[in-house]
Amino acid sequence: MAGILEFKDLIFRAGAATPVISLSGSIEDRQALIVRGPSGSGKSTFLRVLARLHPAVSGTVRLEGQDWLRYPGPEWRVRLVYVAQKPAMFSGSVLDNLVRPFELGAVRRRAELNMTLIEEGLDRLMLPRTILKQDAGRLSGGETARVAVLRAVLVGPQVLLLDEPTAGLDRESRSAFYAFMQGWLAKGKRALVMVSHGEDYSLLKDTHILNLGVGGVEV
Amino acid sequence: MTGGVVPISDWQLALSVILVVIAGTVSAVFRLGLLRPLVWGTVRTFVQLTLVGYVLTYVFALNNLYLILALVTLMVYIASRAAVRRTPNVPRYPAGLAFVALLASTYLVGTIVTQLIIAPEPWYSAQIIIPIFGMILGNSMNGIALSLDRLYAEVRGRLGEVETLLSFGATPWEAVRDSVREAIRAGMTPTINSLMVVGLVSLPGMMTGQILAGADPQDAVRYQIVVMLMIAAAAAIGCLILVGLSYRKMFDSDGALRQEAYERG
Repeated sequence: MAGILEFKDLIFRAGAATPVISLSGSIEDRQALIVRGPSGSGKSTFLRVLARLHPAVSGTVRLEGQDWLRYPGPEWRVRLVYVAQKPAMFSGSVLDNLVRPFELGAVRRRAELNMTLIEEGLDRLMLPRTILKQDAGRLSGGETARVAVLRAVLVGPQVLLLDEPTAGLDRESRSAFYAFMQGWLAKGKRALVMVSHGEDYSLLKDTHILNLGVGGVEV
Repeated sequence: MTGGVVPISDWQLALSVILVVIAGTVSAVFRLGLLRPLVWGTVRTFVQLTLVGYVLTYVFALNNLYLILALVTLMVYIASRAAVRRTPNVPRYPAGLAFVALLASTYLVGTIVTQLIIAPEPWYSAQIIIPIFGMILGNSMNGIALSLDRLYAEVRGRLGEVETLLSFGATPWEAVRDSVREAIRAGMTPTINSLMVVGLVSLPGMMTGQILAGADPQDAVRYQIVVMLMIAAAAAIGCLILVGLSYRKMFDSDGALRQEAYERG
């Protein structure tokens, strides 16, 4: 059975001097792929390759059976949204940050800004609603990480690519984060790819592990 | 009409070496190590300007349209190469795009000024065209270099923001729009600032030259007004074209940022 996201013989390089990494695999609907491996093994680059922010040497990725080259770059990226390990905040308030993606044509064609979703998301991520008026540049690391995930969820992606989203979170907000992600996955027709060092991803229902070593492995 | 130029004879010109001796003494006393470049620079100034004097005499006498066009285009080419020195933030200086931007802005603004405003007889009078186009060129060269440099500096400074926008499906234009705006602003600001203080701080070179040549200051002022406004227009057009053409080079065909575009080469 074809998964929601498949990658076949995906070959890429993390840097000019590093060996190529070759990966094949697939992710089922509502599943989370947990990417693990030592630092420098290409975990972040793998996520960036999937988002087409970093060029692949060769290979294909399919989203619901559709070849990735059938989408122009921006149209692909709005479907597979990548959230960096240290997400950048735009200048302005947290609300400005959540609204900013909706100024982009590709986002506006897919989703509408919904205040109820924002408030629900804040509650479930254990962020106070008053945070909306705060200066986004003054948030703590843990707050920034959760605001960045919420900002990504709002644009309605099919696949979320999260690079160590729980690194700056305490135990309580980690559980809240996983509950939020599980709720997001449960809506169906979506999947999660996540780089994680810890074991706490077991809070998600359906996970698959991808271990990156030297030269890449298959799942 | 007042008297013409007070000429400088060969003997009088030779006296200007006194000025070099003064500058050289300063360098020697403070051991600045500038003696050699000073002497070399002095020789070059004499040789280059003397040659330019001969060339201009020849070109003015001949007043051939095609020769004028070729000369102006050569000047644009040299200016587009020279602008690279003012763009330390740009890893791969787009000489071709700079040439296109300068060519378009210089010819457009130069044509408006010489044909619509000054309207000499014949319409391609070398004595008008070459200095006017040269002044446009010298100023828009600085403008485009500033704006290009600023574009790369802005994108590098906002890398996280630009990448985040891209990851939400921004097109290259949507991702760098703010940086482009800042870059064009940076290229235009010096000429706009000079509109504010012109004549108050120092007399502009062109006007000074006309006054030394015996022109009525009021006529010189009219020329200077035209020159100031044409410089502002040329800087605006040149920056717009160059920044508009070169931001796309920072992205690959897939619309993702090229790493080598923003890393220092």
